[in-house]
Amino acid sequence: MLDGDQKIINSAISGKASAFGLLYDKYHAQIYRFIYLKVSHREEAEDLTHQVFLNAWQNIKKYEFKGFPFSSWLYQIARNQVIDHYRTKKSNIDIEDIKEIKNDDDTLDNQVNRNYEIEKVKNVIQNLNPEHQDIIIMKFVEELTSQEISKILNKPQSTIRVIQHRAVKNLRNMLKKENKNGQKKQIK
Amino acid sequence: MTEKNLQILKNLKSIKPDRGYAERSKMLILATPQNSREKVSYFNNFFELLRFSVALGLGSFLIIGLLGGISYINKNFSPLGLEGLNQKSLSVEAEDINHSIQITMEEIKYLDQTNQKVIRTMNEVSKNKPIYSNVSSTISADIESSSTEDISAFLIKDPALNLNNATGTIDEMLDKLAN
Repeated sequence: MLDGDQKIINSAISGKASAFGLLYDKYHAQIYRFIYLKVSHREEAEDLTHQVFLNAWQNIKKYEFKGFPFSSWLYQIARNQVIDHYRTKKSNIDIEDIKEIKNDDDTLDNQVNRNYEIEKVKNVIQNLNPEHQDIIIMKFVEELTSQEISKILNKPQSTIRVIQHRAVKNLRNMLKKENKNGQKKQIK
Repeated sequence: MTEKNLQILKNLKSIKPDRGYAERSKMLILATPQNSREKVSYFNNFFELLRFSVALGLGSFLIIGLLGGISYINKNFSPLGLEGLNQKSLSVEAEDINHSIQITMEEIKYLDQTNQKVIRTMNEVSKNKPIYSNVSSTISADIESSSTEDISAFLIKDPALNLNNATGTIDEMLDKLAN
């Protein structure tokens, strides 16, 4: 974490709303993405992300820098929020949410293909267990280090590597099945 | 993990929240006050506890005092507390009056019965001894007479019975007349 971030965090801890606003701008998208890939519903992801940052703002005085980025603490809050959400509600896969994933630089065909692939992977991630989901998203989507993931999940790095290996294997197998199903549908 | 799949996973990074929602959410969050310091302050907790205990004690004392005051006022100043209006004493007095009335009624009844007996006796006497018939009529007519002169009118004037020489009591004379 940069020294600049630490100063901003200290200002936020002391109660400066503008400082927390800067932290919000920096980490909001990745927390939202993390939650969205887990719950697969835009409105629910928005609500949960809002709750995560609200909790963070209200409890920022409890935050202590221990050599890890501020995002690690946010990810922990986000994970707990999603777990609580799973307890009360069943998440539904919302295929219509594909609309928001755009890239204006691509041609229409590329855009459609990309959207299709993303939707496929999103559905597959949905079928993984929560722990595998966390590692796949943090490692391959958000590109966090094993050390950060270990801190967030509160597990030793060796355990994280084992879980990651199993998660990737499951993901690959599911993607293969999805591809086969897709090809069968095309033949029909 | 194949390169293709890795690339697809990286493409997921293009997922972004709606800008409008993000701005609104940020404003709401920053407008919310922070929680006060949650560090446990035993000193503050002690004061809170003390304050609560004092408030509880004062409240209890007030309630007890209020109840006691109401009870005292009710006992001493309530209209129902006056001796004359005390329900119990009133009922006792009423019973006493009832009893005395009953006694008086019994006495009156007794006196009436006695009076009736005397009248009957006198009537019988007058039937048996015609010369004394004026006695019963005089008695029944003038029951209220009580003076000595009037009494002498009731005396039996039987020539056989010389009152001047009478040595016995009136009862003996009446007995003789009855015989």
